[in-house]
Amino acid sequence: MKARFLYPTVFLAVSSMYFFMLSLQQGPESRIVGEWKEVSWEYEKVDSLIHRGPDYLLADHIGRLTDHIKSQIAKSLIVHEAEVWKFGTDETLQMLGDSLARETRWKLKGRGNILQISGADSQTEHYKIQELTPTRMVLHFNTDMQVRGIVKITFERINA
Amino acid sequence: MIKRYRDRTNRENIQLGVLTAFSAGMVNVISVIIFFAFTSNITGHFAILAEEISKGNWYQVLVVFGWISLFFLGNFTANLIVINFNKTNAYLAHSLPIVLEIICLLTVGTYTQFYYRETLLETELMVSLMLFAMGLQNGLTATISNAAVKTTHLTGLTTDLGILTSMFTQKEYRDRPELRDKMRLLLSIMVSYVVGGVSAGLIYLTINYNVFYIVCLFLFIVIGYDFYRIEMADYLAKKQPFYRKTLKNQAA
Repeated sequence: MKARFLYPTVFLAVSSMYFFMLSLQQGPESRIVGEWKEVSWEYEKVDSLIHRGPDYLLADHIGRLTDHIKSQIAKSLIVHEAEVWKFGTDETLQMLGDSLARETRWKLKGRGNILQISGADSQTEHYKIQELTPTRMVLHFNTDMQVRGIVKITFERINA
Repeated sequence: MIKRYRDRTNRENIQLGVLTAFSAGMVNVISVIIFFAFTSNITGHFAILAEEISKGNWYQVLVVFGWISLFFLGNFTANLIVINFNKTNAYLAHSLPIVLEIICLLTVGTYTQFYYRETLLETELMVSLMLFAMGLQNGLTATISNAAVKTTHLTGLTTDLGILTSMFTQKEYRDRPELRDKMRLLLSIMVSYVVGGVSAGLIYLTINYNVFYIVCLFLFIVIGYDFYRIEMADYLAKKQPFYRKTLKNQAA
C-alpha cells in the first residue's frame, strides 16, 4: 500500500480505536462523585520513626495518626475536622463532621490525579489522588512536617 | 536563525536554541502551575503511562497515551512540512511549524483567560494542545539543525553535557573548536530553558494567563528575525548597487 494511503488509514484506525476505548471508560470526575468517609490518616514515613522513643507517641503501631496529631496538621486546612466528604455533580463538596458542616468546591486537575479544593477566602488546596476505586479513595498531601513525608488520607465510600 | 537547513553556523543554532528553549521552559512551568501536567518533556509521561497501566487506571492510561501521541504528531507534522516545502520555499517551510505552534499557544492562552472553567476535559485538551505545540517546536528545531538543537527537554542535553565535560578533562578535546561550540550551544539551551521556567513562575504571579502571549512573542521573534533579514537583504540588494555587487561576489 502506498504511503499516502497507508498513513491516513493507520491514523484514522488508531484515532477511532482510541476514542472508542475512551468512550468506554468512566472518567475520574464521575467516579469521585458520592459520599466518602475518612477512615484513617497516616504518615508516609512513620514506620521508621515509630521505635525512636518520644516519636512513638505520635502514632500507633500501624502508623495511623492520633486524633491530636491529625488535628494539629489539619488545623489550617480546609479539610479540618471533616469526617464525611460529599462530592456533588455540580462540583460542590460538603464536608461534615461532629460540629462541622462546610461547603467548598472541588475540581480535578492534571490527568484527573489532582484534587483541588477551594474554600472561602480564595483558599485553595491540592491533594494527590493516589487511588480511586468504586469503594476506596486514597489522598496524599504534603505537610510542613517534611521529615515524615506525605500524609495519606484513606476514605471508604458510603453512598454513590 | 531558521531559514538555513544545511551549513548552519553555531551562532544560528545558539540563537534558535536560546529563544525556543526559553519558550519551552516557560510553557512547561506554566502548564504545571495551571494544569498540573508537564508539557515539554515526554519521558515523565512514559513513566506515568507505565505506572497507570500497572495500577489498571485505564482512563488515565488513554489520556496519557493521547498526550504522548500528540507530542509525536507535533514532531511528525513539523518534519512533514519541512521535507515537503523546503525546496519551494525554505523560509515558509521552517516558519510554518512555528506559526502553528503560536496558534496552539494563543488558543490555550485565550481560552484559559476567558473561557476556562477548570473542568477535567478542558484541562486535558489544553495540555494536549500544548504538547502538540512543543512537539512541533522540537521537531522543527531538531530537523533544521540536524538534531543539534532540541529545546523542549533536557535529558539528552544533560547527557551530552556530561559527556562533553568529561572529554574536556583532556587537552586534545578541549582544543577542538567544534566541541567548544557544542558546549556553548548546550549551555545556552540549558540556561535559557531554566531562565524561561523561572521567569514564567515569577511573572505568572502578576500577569496570570498572559504568560502565553509572552511565549508567543518570543516565537514571533524567531520567525520575524529571519523575515526581517530576508526582506532587508532583498531591499538592500535592490536599492544599493554596492551591496548588490557584494552579494553577487559572495554568491560567486
